[in-house]
Amino acid sequence: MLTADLVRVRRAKEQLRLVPIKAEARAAVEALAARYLQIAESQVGGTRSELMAAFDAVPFAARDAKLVSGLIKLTLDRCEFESKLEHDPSELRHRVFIRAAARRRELGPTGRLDRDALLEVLAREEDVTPELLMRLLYADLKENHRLIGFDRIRADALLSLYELSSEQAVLLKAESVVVVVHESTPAAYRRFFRKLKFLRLLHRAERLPSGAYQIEVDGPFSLFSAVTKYGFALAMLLPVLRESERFNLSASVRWGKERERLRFELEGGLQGASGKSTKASLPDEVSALLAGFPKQAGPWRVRVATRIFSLPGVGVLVPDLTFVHRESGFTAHLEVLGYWSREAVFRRIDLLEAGAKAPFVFAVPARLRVSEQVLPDTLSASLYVYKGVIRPKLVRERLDALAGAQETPE
Amino acid sequence: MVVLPTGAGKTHVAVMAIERCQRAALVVAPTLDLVSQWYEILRVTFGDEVGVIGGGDYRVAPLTVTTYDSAYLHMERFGDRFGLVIFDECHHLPGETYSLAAELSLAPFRLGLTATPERADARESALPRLIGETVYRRDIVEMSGAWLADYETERISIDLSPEERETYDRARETYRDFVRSQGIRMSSPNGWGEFIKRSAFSESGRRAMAAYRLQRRIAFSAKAKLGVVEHLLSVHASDRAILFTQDNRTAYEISRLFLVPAITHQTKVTERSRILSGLAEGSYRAVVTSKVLNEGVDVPDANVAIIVSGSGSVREHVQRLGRVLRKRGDKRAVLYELVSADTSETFTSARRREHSAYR
Repeated sequence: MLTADLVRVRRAKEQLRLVPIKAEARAAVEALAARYLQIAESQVGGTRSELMAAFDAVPFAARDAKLVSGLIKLTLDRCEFESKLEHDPSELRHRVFIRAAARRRELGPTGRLDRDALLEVLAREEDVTPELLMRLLYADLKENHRLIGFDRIRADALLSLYELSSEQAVLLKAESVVVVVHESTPAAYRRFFRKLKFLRLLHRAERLPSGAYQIEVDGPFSLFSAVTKYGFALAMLLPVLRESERFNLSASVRWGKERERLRFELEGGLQGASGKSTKASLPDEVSALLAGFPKQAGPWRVRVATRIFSLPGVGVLVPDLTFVHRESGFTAHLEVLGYWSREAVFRRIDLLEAGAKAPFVFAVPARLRVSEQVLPDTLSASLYVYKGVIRPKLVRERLDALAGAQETPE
Repeated sequence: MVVLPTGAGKTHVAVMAIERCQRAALVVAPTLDLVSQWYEILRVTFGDEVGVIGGGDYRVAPLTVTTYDSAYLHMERFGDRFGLVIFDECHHLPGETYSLAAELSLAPFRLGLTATPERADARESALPRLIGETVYRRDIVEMSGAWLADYETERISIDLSPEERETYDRARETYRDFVRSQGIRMSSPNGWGEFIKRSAFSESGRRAMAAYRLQRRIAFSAKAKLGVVEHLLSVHASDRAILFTQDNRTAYEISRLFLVPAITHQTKVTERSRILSGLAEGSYRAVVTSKVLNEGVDVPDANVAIIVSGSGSVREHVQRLGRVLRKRGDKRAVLYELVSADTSETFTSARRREHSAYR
């Protein structure tokens, strides 16, 4: 991924815009990218400093300096350098330098150290050649790390990656992001929301009269801690958006040393073109519950949720799992709020109170300090506060209680 | 503020000030190495628990040691808990952020210790406001012999080889042509920044930057310098020598060539301690370093300093000399300065020698 200092941007009033690679220059930039990729591939076996020297030897126009640094960074991201060494270089250095110091002392002020002869002896003791001994001596310095592998990519794909990475680098500086997503089918919306949840992004969603969804996502700069990890997750939202039918993104970013507040806008999507859609995975705790529940299921069947509950003007509830009672057909939904905030829990309660009638179980981690009693009795919902892992047996108890309450006449 | 050369007993002055004041005291030092040195000194001298703030520790005690970084970040919280604050190497204090460490402290008693208060940005003028006036000052010349080791300095002029000379002159011309063509005055305060900026925007600029680096590298590590280093290592085979370079690259080159240990910012703490103990006990007789040993760290047995290359900073040069001046018996110290003749290094050397210690 690129860092903010490698991104080519222009400021226009309060807007931050990326400087695009012009169509007429694209072929030349692609040739440059191909050159860097070819260098990296040919340097496998060499050191990092040799690789960097080979990169430095490629001529380019001075105005492209930032673009070139970005291409080199993305090429380096695909390089694998040797990190574990057979010999501990610091121990080797200690042995070599101690012997050299002792030898110098023996020779006294008039003698001259025969370096080659000493290296011969030391290399024999280490069971290596003198050349290898010298190479191993400082093999732990970053510039001497060996390039042991390179993940190939085509030059045009590197350019596309550069463009995506530039957009992602801007999002790393976001305070808040508002996205409007248009999909052509309900299934596509479900897939989108599942991916959003998989990324563990803090968001609020609402359905617009047009049928599209507007999602407000907190940016890393609005958080107090773990900014880097969250920023990376937010950056991963972009590839998800690019797989949607159409999207518009508007972000408030803090840019530059002065952290100036600027607006950044993007739009895109497949727009009818066919694209390879990546699989929507479940978050770990939801997968674990889905796998573990059948042993405790009793009369309940569990499946991945497919519904989105939308209350116009209020918000959206997106469950993770759906449970169906085999005998009565009673259906309840579960949402895991593992990475959310306290505020998000109360927002869900508001949504239920505002009219979302479906029975719900919310699994809330104990760290959010929410009591199971906060839910009003009038709601067909249950809070399950868990410590560490979600226990299927306790989920089932909540489901049984919800189903029982439904059957009990008032 | 007390201005004394390295090895003249600044630490002793601080310990006496703590004893005299009888107040909770905070010592602020620039590096974690110095924080651990202060920790040991205070613990052994006063026998009390000593607090540490910085490097992952946050323990506040009536005697506490911290770094400048931690001090300016946390002084707001503990600035009212110490009656005495001691700023070690206090020339660091007048920086924009570090000065907060003094401004946010309520301590009525303050002591600043340094060998060289003067700064390139002239902000030493803030020191009287942040700490107090200079109450005692002695320089190296006044203290050598009785309080510091006797010393001599020798400047060795090195001739470039004919090939080096040709490459040097050509590279220098390329660099100077560009500077002239752009109307950049390198002697002005913004000259260097202007050169960096403009060199990035044109082909000729990039060539000029590469040429600038090349001519510097030739001057810093001329082949004949390495010959002299070999000679000096032999002559001082029974002494303890520290070789100083301007850059890591030259430090590692010397380490490989002469098989002496190197200490740079990339050296891990454990290896660094092992090298310094080796030098103290005599299993190593020489160590090469770039800049990390310039300041503070105690190497009492070292008696030979070899400046292979360095900047034009007077402070750096005085600090490097200070590394070998700590008094021990009838130790006599020597500082060699290797300078490539008829290169920009001649001017650099003249600039850094503008101190009484070199007259």
